[in-house]
Amino acid sequence: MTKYFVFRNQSNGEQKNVPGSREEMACEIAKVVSQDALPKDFYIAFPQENKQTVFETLREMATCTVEIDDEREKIWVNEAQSLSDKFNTLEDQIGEAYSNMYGAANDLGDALEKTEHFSDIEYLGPKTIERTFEYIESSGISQFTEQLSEIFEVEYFHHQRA
Amino acid sequence: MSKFLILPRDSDDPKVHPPGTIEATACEIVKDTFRIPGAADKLQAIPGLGPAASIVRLKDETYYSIEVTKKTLNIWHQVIPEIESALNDVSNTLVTIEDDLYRSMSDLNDALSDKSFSGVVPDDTISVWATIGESSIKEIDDAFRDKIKELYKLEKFN
Repeated sequence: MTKYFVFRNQSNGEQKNVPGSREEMACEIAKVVSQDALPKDFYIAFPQENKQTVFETLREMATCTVEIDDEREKIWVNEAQSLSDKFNTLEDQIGEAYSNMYGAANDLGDALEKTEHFSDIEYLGPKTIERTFEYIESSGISQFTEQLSEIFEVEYFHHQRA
Repeated sequence: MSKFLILPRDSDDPKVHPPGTIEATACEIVKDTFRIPGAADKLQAIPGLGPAASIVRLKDETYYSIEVTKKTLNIWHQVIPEIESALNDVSNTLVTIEDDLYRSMSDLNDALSDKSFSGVVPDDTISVWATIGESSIKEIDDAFRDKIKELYKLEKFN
């Protein structure tokens, strides 16, 4: 098992994780667990075994640690990565759906409000749209990231989440 | 103000109201508001007062009454189509959203159904939300049609 220290990448693009490496994987996992929309290479990771590192110093500077071994690597590659993509797709669709519904309801409101005879019809106002979307906003991603965090023993330090 | 009785046109009656006339519009209003299947020219409008109207009232058959003015005719042609279009847009948006989200959620549920993340269950609330959305739109649609009935003093008999 290897513990990876994940840092915010402040090298202005000079340092990057090797594509396909466990370091890159650790950064991806940290991003998914953070649930923030972060750019590629936002994080950079180093294994604990790296002799240049001193655990306590890293602990102060790192955003989090992620544990990856062979078995966990398989879980990420075979399951978690595609699940993360599917959750992201769903989240995006929910956002787009909200926006479309809000727009259509507003148009209806405008069409009703400017009339003399139909202006008092109650339509799908912003609050109704918000309330109805509350039912689907929680798509299960929090539960997924919690489980992901448990499997990969993600440990955050200080207030450096994302 | 003109009052008409609206009733089905006899199938062998070749006379239809010319489009754009007050009679043709009265038939359209009744057809759309009461959701009568078929084309509006399958209906006929007769003056609300007079021998023909009396005969219709005596029969035990379904007919409708409507009152229109120049102002309410303009509302029918200029105001109501915009509201109907906006209502259709809301309804179509809802259907599209429901389809898209349901597909993504099913896809996700399938992917979650086994292995390491089987305990993660996304909230299966699409159908709940869709039901709420549909009922809200139905309420608006019903309120809209009630207003139209009120505006044109629409009534259904028998």
